Amino acid sequence: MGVMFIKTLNINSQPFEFDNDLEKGFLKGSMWVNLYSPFKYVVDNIVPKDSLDQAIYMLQVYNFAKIELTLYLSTHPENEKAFELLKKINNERDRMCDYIEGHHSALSSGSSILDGYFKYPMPWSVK
Amino acid sequence: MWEYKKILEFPVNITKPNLKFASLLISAIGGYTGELNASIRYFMQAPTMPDLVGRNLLMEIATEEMAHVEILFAMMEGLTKNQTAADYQAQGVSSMFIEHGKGIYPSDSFGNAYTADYFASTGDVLTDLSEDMTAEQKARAGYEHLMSMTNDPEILGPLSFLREREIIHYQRFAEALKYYQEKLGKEY
Repeated sequence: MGVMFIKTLNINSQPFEFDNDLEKGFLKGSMWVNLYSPFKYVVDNIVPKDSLDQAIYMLQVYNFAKIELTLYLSTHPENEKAFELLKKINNERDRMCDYIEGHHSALSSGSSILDGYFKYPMPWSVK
Repeated sequence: MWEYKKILEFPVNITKPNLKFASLLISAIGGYTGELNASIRYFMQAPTMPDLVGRNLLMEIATEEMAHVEILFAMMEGLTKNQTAADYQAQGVSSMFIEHGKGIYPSDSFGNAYTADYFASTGDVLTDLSEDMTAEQKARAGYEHLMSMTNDPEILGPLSFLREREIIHYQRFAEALKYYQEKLGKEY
């Protein structure tokens, strides 16, 4: 008896349809218009409480775009559009991180600013 | 290596304690559909991926799953903030307090401890990636079950984000599986 081949999956590679509205994509949990599939609840907006909160929120948005593009490039390493966009996003992410570290507190112990790091609360603590 | 940054991947702002929901939410950390299991699974499978497509993808997703554990920590903190032993008793979740106090212990909602028996690492790329796709669907269903248990927008917001991430990861694992099927000339 020969080996039986079973074709179980028809997998399509996802086209590069990145949501240019980064904040909207962040709130949805998907930067990909064609992969968004909500269930029960949609986050319309998040209102930051103060200027630090606002800056953290912007950093989270850029950080999320970075995660999405990195995962996409892992399976589409030749996609130059995604590669160039990730470079731009990383730039913005660095800029926002520098802003927070300069105005409020270092977020990592590897920061050259370092000020405030050991007194800055953990991200999961409730104020 | 990793460098820790003090930011959450997605904001959490839970202002109303809810011990009953905390006793269910622990499953998203330590249950078979949980984020800890997902992270450890991908981390362990990554070294035997045949090339950088699988290795890059699994390390990146393993890292993101750990950030999801952190989001769940923030939710657990909000749900249990300032609650006393008497509050646990009043909400019918005394066992949670008896076993762990306010500590976070990775278990499912029945209290079964997290175990690496929840996942496989076979060294076979097609098997591991097929398991990873299944795992993402299990996690999506797990979040839908949790979301069905509440109408609190402060809880539903982060859960909707976490659920959508499972859909994206599923797609990426599927793309990696297709890549290796074609590369190896195997379709099983």
